[in-house]
Amino acid sequence: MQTSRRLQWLTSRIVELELLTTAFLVLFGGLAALTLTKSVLISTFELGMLGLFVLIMYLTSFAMAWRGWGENQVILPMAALLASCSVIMLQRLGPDLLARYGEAYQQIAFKQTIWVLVGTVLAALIIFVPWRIYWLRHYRYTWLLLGIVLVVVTIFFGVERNGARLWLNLGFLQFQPVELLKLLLVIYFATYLDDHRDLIGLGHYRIFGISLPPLPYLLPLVLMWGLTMGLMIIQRDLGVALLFAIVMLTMLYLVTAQIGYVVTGIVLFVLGAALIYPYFGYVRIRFISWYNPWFDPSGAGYQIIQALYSLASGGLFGLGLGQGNPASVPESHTDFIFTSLGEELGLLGTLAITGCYLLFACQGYIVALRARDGFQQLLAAGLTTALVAQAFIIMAGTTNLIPLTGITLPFVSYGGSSMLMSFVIIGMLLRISASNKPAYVL
Amino acid sequence: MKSQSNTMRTTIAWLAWLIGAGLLVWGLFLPDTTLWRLILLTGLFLLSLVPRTYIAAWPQQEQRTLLRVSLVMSLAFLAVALQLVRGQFTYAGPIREQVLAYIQPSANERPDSATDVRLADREALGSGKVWPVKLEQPIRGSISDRSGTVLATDQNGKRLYLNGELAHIIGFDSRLYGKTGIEASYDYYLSGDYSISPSDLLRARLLGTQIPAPQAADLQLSLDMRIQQVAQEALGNRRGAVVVIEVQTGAIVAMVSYPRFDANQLILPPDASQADLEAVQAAYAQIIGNSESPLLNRAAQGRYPPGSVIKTFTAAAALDTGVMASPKAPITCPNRLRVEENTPLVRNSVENLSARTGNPSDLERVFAFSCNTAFAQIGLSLGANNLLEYAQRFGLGLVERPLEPMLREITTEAGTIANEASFLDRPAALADTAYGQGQALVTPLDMAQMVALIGNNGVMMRPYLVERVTAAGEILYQAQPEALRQSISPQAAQAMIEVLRRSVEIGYAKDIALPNISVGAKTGTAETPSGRPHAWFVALAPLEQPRYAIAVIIENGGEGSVSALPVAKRVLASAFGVTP
Repeated sequence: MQTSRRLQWLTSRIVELELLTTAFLVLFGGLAALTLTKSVLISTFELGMLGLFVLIMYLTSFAMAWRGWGENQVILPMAALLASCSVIMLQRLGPDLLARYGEAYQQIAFKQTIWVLVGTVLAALIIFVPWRIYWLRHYRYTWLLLGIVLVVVTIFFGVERNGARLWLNLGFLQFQPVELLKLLLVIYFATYLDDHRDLIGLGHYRIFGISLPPLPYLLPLVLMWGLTMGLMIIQRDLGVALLFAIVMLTMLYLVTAQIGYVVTGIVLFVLGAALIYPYFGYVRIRFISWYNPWFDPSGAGYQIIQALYSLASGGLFGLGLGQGNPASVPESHTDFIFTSLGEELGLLGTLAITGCYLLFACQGYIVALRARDGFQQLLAAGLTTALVAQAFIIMAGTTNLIPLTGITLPFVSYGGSSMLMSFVIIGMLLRISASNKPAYVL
Repeated sequence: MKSQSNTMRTTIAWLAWLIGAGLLVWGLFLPDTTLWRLILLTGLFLLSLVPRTYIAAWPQQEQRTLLRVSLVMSLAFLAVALQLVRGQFTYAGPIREQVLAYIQPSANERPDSATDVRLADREALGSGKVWPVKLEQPIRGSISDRSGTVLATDQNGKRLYLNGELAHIIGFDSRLYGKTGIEASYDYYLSGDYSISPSDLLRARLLGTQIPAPQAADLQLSLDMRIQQVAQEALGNRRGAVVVIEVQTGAIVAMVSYPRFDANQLILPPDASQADLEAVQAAYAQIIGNSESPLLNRAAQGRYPPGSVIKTFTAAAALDTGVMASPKAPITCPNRLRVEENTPLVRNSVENLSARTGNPSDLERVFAFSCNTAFAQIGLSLGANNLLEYAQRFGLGLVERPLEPMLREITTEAGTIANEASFLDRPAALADTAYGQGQALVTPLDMAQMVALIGNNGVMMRPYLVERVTAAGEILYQAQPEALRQSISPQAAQAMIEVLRRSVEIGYAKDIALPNISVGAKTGTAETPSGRPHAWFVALAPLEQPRYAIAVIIENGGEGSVSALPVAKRVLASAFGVTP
C-alpha cells in the first residue's frame, strides 16, 4: 500500500507519456520510411542526437511528474510531435535542396536537429530552474528597453534577405530578433494591461465632441499601430506586423472586453496598410498574388501557384514521404514547409497538423482560464495567441486563404530563432499551467 | 417568457449552423475562388452563432472574453482546414490541370497522361539521384557492337566514344548536359547501380556500414558496325536517315542519321580546366545553334510525309481485308480520278501511266508503277475505319491519340496516319492518305518496321538496340525478341512479298536488283511544301527467307528511285556480301 502510494507520481502524467510516445513513433516511423524510399542517410550522430531529444523529453516528463506541480500534459507532446515533423521533413528536403541550390543548404536537417535539441533543453531549463514569474513584471522596463534596442540594432546592423531586413548576424548564427521581440512584447503588454485593468470603469475623454477611450487604452493602440507600421515600412516584414497586431488586439480585448478596441485596431491596421499600398510594391504584390495568383504566374504568383499545385498533387493521402517534389516550391523548407508536408502526407497529414495547432490553442487558452491571477492569465493567453496566430498566418498564407506574408511555422519551419522561441513559449506556458507550484516561484 | 426567447434564439442559431454547414460543403465544390472566399466567411459566421449563444450564457463573466478569443482562433483553423480540403481534395483536380495547362499547353488535351508528366514537368532542374551513402565509383561499363567492336569506353576517367558518329544511338554521358540515348536508358547497368543490393544500401544508411564497390556492366548492341559504316558512307553528307532491321527478331542492325555530331566534344575530362569547359560549352552551343538540327535522330524521331512508300501499307491492308483478293486482283489506273465534288482531281505523277500498267491493270502492276488513282480507289474501298484499324496495327496512331513508340531504348517518335480520326471521314482525304498524301507523318523506323512485318509472316516485332548486358562473363540481360502483334495474316504477308518482288522485277524499283539475292522494294517521292521532294525507299531481302528490312530517306533528295535507291542498294549488297 505504501509502496504504491510512493510510486503514485509515476502514473500522474500518464497522458503526457502516451502522447510523447505517439510523437516519437511518428518521428522514427517517418525516418524509417524516408530511409526506405529516399536516399537519405541519417548518420549515427544524428540518430544519437534524436535519441537524446527523446530522452530529454521523457526525462522532463518524469521529472515534472516527480515534482508534482501539475503542469499541463498536452503542450509538451504537441511540441514534440511538431518538431518531429520538422526533423522528418528537413531530412527529406535536405538532399533535394542541396542538389538544387547547392552548398548553402548543406546539412540543414542536422542543424535543425541541433536546434530542436537545444530548444528542448531550453524548455527543460525554464520548467525546472526556479525563476519567479514576478520578475517578468518587476523588470518590465528592462524588457521594453531590450525590445527597443533590438529593433534599432536590426534597423542599423541587420542583414537583408529576400527584401526584408530581419536578421542579425551573430557570427555563428543568423539571429532573427523579431522572434525575441515577440516574446518581450507579450510580456510587456501583459504587465502594462494588467496594471491598468482597474481603469476600466473610468469615463471617456471627449475631444471635439469625439468620445475617446481612456488614455491608458489609447496608448497601447497607438503603440501597436506605430510598431506595426514601422515594421511594415522599415523592415518590410508584413507577417510579423500582422502577428503583432493580432496579439496586441487580442490582449487588449481580453482586458477591456470591448469589441470596439478590436474594431478600431483593425481599422487602423487596414488604413495603415492601405496608406502604404500605393507606395510600396511588396504590399501590392502580396495582395494581388493572393487575389489572383494567375495575374502573373511566372513572376509574383509563381510561388503560390507552385504551392497550390504541391498541395493539389498531394491529394487525400499524399504522395508519400520522399515520393513528391516539394523542393520545387521556393522556400520549401521555411515558410512553405506546410505545403511540402501537404504534398507528401496529403490532406490527412495537413489536417492532422492543423488539428495539432488547434489543440495547442485550446490547451493554451485553458491554461489561461485556469491561471491563478490576471497577469498570468494575460501572459498565457498572449503567448498562446502569439504562437498559434503565427501558425495561422503562414498556414493560411501558403494555402492562399489570406495574402501571403512570410513568417515561420512554429516548431516546423527550418530556423533556429523560431524553434528556440517556440520552446521558450511552451516552457513558460508549462510554468504558468503548474497549479501546485510553490510560492517561491510566483 | 425569457426562457422561451432563449429557446427561440438557440433554435435559430442551430438553424443558422445547419445553413452554414450546407453552404460550406457546397462551396467546397465551387470553381470560383472569390465566391468560395465569400462563402467561407459567411459559413463560418453562421457556424459561430451556436457557440456564441453558449458563451453568452457562460456563468463566469470574466472568462467569456477568453472563450470568444478561443472561438475566433478555432474558426480560423477551421477555415484553414476547409481551404485544405478544397485545395487537396474536392478541387485539387482543376488546380492541377490549370497549372499543367500553363506549364505544358497540350496537357489539357491529354488528361490520361496528366499524372505521368507531372513530375517530369516540374522537374526542370532535376533533383536527380542522390546517394548520400559514400559509394566507390566503378569505371563505367563499355558499349560494343554485336561482333564485339568497342564503341564507347572509359579512358583515364573520361568517357571516350571510339566511333563518334553514333551519338544519336549511344548518346553521351556529359557532366554538363546529362545523359542521353543508351547511356541514359541503360545507366542502371553502365553505372553499376544494379549491383548495389537494396538491403546493403539500407544497412549502410542506417548503420553507416561499408557497401562493396559496385560493378559496372558492359553493353552489347544489336548494331552491326560493318553495315552501319556502309550505310553512313552511302548516305554521305545528305540530310536523311537509314534504318536496317533484322526481320525475324526486330534487332536494329544499322541506324544512321545525318547531320550528326561527335559526342566526344561534349565530354569534360575529370580535371577539367576553364579552357576545357569553355570548349565543351562552345561545342554544345554550336550543335544547338545549328539550323539543320544535328541533335535530331532523323531515323527514329524525324516525322516525314511518307509519299508512295505508304502504298505498301495500303496494299497490305487491302490484301488482308480482302478488298483486293490477290496480287492479281484487277484495278484500273485512270489518268484522273474525281473523288469528291469541289476537290482537286487525283492524278498520277506521270501522264498516261496506264500505258505501263495496262488497262485494266492489277494490284502488282499499279504497285510497281505507283499509280495514285488506283490506290485512291483502294483506299476508298477500304474505308476510313479499316484504314485507321490497320494504321494502328502498323504502329501509326493519330496526333490526337498518339501510340507509344515501339522502340523504347532511345528517344523515338511514333508515326501518325492523320491528325484526327475525323479527317479521314472525307473521301478525298481518305483517298489522299491511301496513296501517300494527306496528313500522315512517319519515321524511317516506322517504314522499316512496315516492311519487316511483311517479311515476318505479318508479325510485328518490337525493335531493339541492346542485345545483351554482361558483367564479368555473366549475362545480366539478354534481349528476347518480342512479338507485338499479328498485323496481317501470313497469307496476306506472302502475297505482299509477291507484290514487292514484282515491283523490282517490272517497276520503278528495278535498279535495286542484286545478283543471287531476290529483293522486294518500293520507291517513294514525298511532296514537301517547299523545295525538292523527299526521296524514300524501302526494301526487303532475300524474299525466300527475309532477313533484312531497310528504309532510306533523303531530305529533298528528289525521286526515290534516283537518290534513295542507290543508298539502299549499297547497304544491302554489303550486308549480303555481294557486289552489285
